[in-house]
Formats: sequence, structure tokens, C-alpha cells
Amino acid sequence: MLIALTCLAFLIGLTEVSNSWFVVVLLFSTFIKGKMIIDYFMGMNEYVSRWNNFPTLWLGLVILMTLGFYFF
Amino acid sequence: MSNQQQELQGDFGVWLVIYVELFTFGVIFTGYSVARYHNVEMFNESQLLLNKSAGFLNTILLITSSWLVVKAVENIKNIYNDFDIKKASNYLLLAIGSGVLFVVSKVAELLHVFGQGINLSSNTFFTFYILLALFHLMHVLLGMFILFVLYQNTKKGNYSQKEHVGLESGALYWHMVDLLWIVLFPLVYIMR
Repeated sequence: MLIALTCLAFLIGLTEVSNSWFVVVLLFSTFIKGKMIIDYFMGMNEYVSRWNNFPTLWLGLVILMTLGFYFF
Repeated sequence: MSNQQQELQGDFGVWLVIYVELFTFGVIFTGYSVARYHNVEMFNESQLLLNKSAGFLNTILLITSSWLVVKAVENIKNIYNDFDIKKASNYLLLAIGSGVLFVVSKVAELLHVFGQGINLSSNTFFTFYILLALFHLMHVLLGMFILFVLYQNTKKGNYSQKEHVGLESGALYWHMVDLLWIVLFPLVYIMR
């Protein structure tokens, strides 16, 4: 899944086109990849506490902020 | 419900480091987006000079390396005999190998960029690109050193099914390095 989403990002990059939908797909796939690393590699999916959401919160904020500056 | 709750991997210190690093990179990523917002054309033109294939290869290498570290930790957590120790240390060795390939690829990419006469003061895009590349590379090098220490400790049999916090902590640092690159790659190399 991680490799497949990375290939998707690379293919989008190869087009070298400025397209809003490409950016949405790219950043959404980046969020999915980051979430998988946080949950499955860092083992956060098995941990329930108030600290659980910090890396995911960070990832979400970075993606939303990037989207915000791209579209506004 | 409390029965399903597991302890957080690694020790508190490494999580503190991870939170600080995420915050620091978050600030740099924000700075990049703000700078791009003010000069989209220049950022898009400069981005064309980057080697996307190298960025793609580096992403694959770091993901693979992270996965290998996960397998190493799994082997120690479910340790049964010396063969599991050997398997875990081999996974770590392969993870270090992937890290070495990342460093070689990244250094070659940077040398190519510098060879084109580009430096920190060429424009804002390259200021961010070079700073992010070098800052992240420093983290990769530190991560590789940590992985090497983990490899040696694993080989000596210093970790067991119950005592492997050090291994988990080092692994977490390496996953953070991977996570940072996962965000950096599309932001700097792809998004236009």
C-alpha cells in the first residue's frame, strides 16, 4: 500500500502539471501513508491515550496547512 | 477496555525527541508553504530542476528500511531461539543497508544540484530545498548510527521478549525519519 501510494505520487509528479485535483489526491495519499507509518510502524493503533493523537494531529495540520496555502 | 490498552512503544525520552522534531519540521514545512504562496511560479520553475526519480527512490528506500526495522522488533518480541536473534539482526543490517543507499543517492543528488551552480542563496525555493535536504540527511545519519548500535546489541543478545525498550525507542526514531520524508517528498518534489 505504501509503495503503491508512493508510485501514484511519482506518476503525478511525472505529469509536471499544476492541477488542483492532483494536489488533493497527492496530499490525501500522503496523509494515508503517514497515518499508516504512525499506526502500524510506530504502533500507535494499539495505544489508547490522550497522547495517541499527537503525531496524527501533526500530520493532519501539516497537510491541511499545505492545502490551505495552495488554494487560498 | 483497559485490557485492550497497550503500553506506548519505546521510552518517554524518545517520544519527547519525536514531538520536538515533528514540531521543528512542521515549522519549516509551514515556512515553505508560506514562501511558495508568495511566489508560486518561481517555486514551480525551480522544482523542475529536481530529480524526481531520486526522490522516488529515496522514498522507497526509507519505507523499505522502516519495514525491515518493524520486522526486527517483531522477531525480538516473539523471540523463541537464537535463530530469531539472528533474523532480527539481519533485518537491522538490511535496514542500515537501505539507509546507506539513501545517503549515497541523496549526496549524489545534492552534488548534482550544486554542480549546476545552485546554492543556498540562488532563490527561496533552493534555500528551503537545500536546508530541508541537509537537515533531514543529518537525521538519517543519526538514525543509521542508532540502528548500528541496535544491530550490535541485538547480535549480542541484549534484547529479550520482555526487555526491548531500547530497540523500540531506536526503531521509533527511524520511523519518525521515514514519516518526515513521506511529507517532504510530495511537498518539495511533486506538488505544483
